[in-house]
Order: sequence, then structure tokens, then C-alpha cells
Amino acid sequence: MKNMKKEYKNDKLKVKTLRLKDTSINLIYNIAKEKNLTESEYIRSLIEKDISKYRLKKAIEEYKKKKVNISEGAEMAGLSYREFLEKLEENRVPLNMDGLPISYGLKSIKRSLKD
Amino acid sequence: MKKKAIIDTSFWIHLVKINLEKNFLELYDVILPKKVEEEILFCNSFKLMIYKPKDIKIYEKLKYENKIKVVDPKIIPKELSSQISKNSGELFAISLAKENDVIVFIDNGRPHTFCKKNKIKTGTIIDFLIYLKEEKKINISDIKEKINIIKESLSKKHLKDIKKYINL
Repeated sequence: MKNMKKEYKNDKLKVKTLRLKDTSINLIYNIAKEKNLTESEYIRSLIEKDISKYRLKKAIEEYKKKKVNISEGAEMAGLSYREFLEKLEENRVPLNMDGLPISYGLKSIKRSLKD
Repeated sequence: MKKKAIIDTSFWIHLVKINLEKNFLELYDVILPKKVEEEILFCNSFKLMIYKPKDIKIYEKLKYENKIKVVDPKIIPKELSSQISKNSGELFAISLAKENDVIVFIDNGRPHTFCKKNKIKTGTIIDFLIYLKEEKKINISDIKEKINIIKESLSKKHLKDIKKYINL
């Protein structure tokens, strides 16, 4: 999952056959036409959108479980650091900032300015 | 002479978001590793490329004025690299702090345990806010306003701890 971003970027387009319902085929044709895309571009965009959503969901889950940090989460989600930080905020996921008591941080700041 | 401080990406983003970068620069000379700089400056989305975030603009200005220095650590402690991804800015920021015995400001808790264990001075945006309040550089309404800006990034427990600490 962590290497997904790199692999995904370097991917060349390959052929994948899939079976679809008649109604879906008609809808795809009409929507693609309306969006000024080829059917294959439209289907690809749908798949890519869902993959991005899945990757973000997974990355957020892992971040919540404290299994990854922001950089690692961003990589998993295929986003930049700040984009992932924004997504965490949008999804109301708090940063794992409460690991140490405030007193430790305050003491550190005071010592750093005294030393 | 000002003291040195190392910053991580999330801390910098929060610092500018709550408009405290001037207070920070009055106290510290800012140092950061290359990887953190990359994380701060890298925007791959169209939206971010057009509307450059304020913290990037301020970062670029300060870098141009030589008020921010980019330095990489000579050594990455093995114990740390086994805990944090090799590709993360935190790893370099903490290594640099350890090497130079300088405080590191990080808004992500996982490495804090390592810092405490290795007696590395560390703080978060909240610690800095409370420090400024204790030093009477900001007042209680400032602190409320600033916490409100970043409240989505704080856990309920953390918010409760903060309120208790500053008698809100």
C-alpha cells in the first residue's frame, strides 16, 4: 500500500475486459458523451476516483490507529503532506498531538530559551 | 542571541494558521531539514497551485531573507529510523534536534515518546501557545480564538487537558 503511489504513477495503460449490464453501457455512453470524454476515459475516471477514495479511507484509518504518521499517511493516500493534513481536518480526525503532557512541552520550551 | 529551533511541517502550517510566526521568530532562529522544506512547499493539486497557501508565501519570504535555514542531520539514529518512515520529515527533524541539542516543534505525537526517552526537547503548537500566554504575550481571548482555529486537529482529551491547564 505504501508503494502504491509510485507504482500507480508509473503505470502504463493496459487492457482489462469487463462485463457490464446493458443499462450501464447505455448510461456510460450518454454520460461520457455529455462530459465530452471517450467511454474508456469516463470509466477510467470512475475507477480512479474510487481508488483514490479507498486509499484515503485506508490512510485515515491507519492514522487513527497510530500506525502511520502524517507523511506515511499522505504517501498511502497518494496525496501531498498538506493535502493529507487538510483531509484529516475535513474528516475531523485529530492529530496525535496529545502523546506527551503539556508540562513536558512547556518545560522543553523554557529550557530551550534558557540553555 | 536568539536560540535555535527545529520545526516540522505540521507545526509550521499551524503556526502560520494562527498567526504566531512573528512571535516564534522573535524567540527562535528557525532551522529545518530539506525533507520538511519539501513537505511545506510541495503542492500537487491544481487548487493549491493556484491559491498558494499563506504559510508557503511566508516561508518563501523568510527563506529569501535568510531568516530560515535548511540543514540536514549528519546521522539518523537507528532507533529512530526503525520507528518512523524513512521518507518522513519528522525523522530528519528529530535527528537534527538530537544532533544539535536543540528543541524540535512537532504537531504529531508518535515521535514524542522517542523525544522524551532520549531527552530531546520537544513541543507542539499548543505548548507554544500556552508558553506565550504564560509570558503574557497573548491573552486568554487570543488563546481561545487560536485554539478555535485549529480545534479540528485536537482530540477531545487534548482540548480538555488544555482547558484544565489554562483554567479556561
